[in-house]
Amino acid sequence: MLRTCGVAITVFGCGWVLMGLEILGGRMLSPDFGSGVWVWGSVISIFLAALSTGYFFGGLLSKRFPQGFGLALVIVMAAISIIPLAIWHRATSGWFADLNLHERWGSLFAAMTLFFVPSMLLGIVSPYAVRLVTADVASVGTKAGTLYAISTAGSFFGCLLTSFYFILWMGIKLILFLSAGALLLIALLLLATWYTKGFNKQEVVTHET
Amino acid sequence: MKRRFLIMAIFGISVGAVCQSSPVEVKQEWPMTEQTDYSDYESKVLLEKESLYHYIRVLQEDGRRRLQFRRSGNDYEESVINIHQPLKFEMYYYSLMLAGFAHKPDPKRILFIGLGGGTISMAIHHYFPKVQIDNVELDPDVVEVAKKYFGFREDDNMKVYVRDGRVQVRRLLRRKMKYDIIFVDAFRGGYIPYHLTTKEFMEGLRAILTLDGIVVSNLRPGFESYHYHRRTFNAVFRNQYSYGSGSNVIVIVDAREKPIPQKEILAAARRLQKEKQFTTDLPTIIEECGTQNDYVRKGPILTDDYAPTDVLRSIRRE
Repeated sequence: MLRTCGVAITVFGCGWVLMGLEILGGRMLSPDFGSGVWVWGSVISIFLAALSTGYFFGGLLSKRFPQGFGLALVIVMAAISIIPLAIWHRATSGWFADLNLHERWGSLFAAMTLFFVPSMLLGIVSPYAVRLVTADVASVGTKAGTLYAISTAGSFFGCLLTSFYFILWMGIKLILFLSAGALLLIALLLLATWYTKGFNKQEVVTHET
Repeated sequence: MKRRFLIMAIFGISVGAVCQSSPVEVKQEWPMTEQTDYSDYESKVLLEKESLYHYIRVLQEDGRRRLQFRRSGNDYEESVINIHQPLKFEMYYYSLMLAGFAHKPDPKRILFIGLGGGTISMAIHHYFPKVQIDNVELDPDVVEVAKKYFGFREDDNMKVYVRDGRVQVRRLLRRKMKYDIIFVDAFRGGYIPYHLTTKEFMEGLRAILTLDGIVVSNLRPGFESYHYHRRTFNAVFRNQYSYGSGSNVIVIVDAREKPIPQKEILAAARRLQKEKQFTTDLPTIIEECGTQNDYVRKGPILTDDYAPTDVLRSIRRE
């Protein structure tokens, strides 16, 4: 039970950070590429491409290392990948703007460089999490459904609160650092719940599903 | 020396005419390209269109044509033109914007960010036919509307870049272009997009200004955001002047060593008024509408990282 709770909190937090990042994405690019449809189109497309990649590798990784540690490591990497984004996003998007491409392609390439890695790493989380809480085939649908619901609820809050309040309270850089910090905390929490002995007796991770 | 070809279709009859443009003549106006055959006093929607960025409406009533962008159920007036006398400004702030010329009476290149109906741009083109005017407009449909309903047209000295204002400033900077006057009048249904309000944007503007160039910006007072805008200008430019106190305040900034003495501005206004015969009296605007210190000087400014304009523009502050 404790493990399931830990994983649930993990997917909620990661969903939150992912959508928060996407909202910030448009905001980060608009100084160089404007606030037109291309910027939003680029950001959303890149996030979807990254998620697609992340889901795929998440599935593979969960088969190889079906342990809390593996997922925690992915989340720590995601946290680390946000730090350079916070520090160098202005310089990076400025560099792309100076290439003198059409704004469409400029914003797409900038979005890819800036957001692909963190959002791909966060995309790994969902399928990985499903694997971690699943003990048998019969419950796979229920577990996956519940986790997706929780993860998407996290995304909902991340999206809403970031766009409605956080941008207006804190500024982009601070939100990014806080997101990285939050991911690190989530990884720690996951490890703590996963490796706490005594509460996890019933939940044996089986290697066959 | 320019020849103007204008085709007017009034009551269904096409009348072709060619006229010579002369800069001093007051009655000289630019032709409306779209003429309609109903009475002046009827109010009629000429166009309603959802563009990439706006819900655009063009209305005509009382001999005036209006360009409106709708947002949150309100139609925000972006441009109004008197179709019989385009130089007779129907929005008061157009006249206030002319104050820029009292600060910089001899411009060679002008940048205009936020075309709208192009009314001010065309008026400037009329009064200063030799000045190169570059316009920047985000929405291609707005450019179409300006051409079709507001008589806007391009020629050797009048260009339009269909691009985001900030992106275009960056490009001009790279091409090492310099402007004597930059007008910033980019609104999206009642508000200025945040990336056109920040310190970084202002620095971009300063970098494409000539040494004694000025930025003329249209701001809406009465909201918390106004004070942030003014402070942000203050952080980048040395001198600030403002005109008007109603729903629009025109802020003029420059980076000169010392502010221009009021006397000189007024003298330039008088000289220009005599030469150009503006439909509004420029010296009166300079004398009576100046409002130097009408903002709260202490407080945060807007940056690319932190620009909560969406909230600030909804906080009333008188």
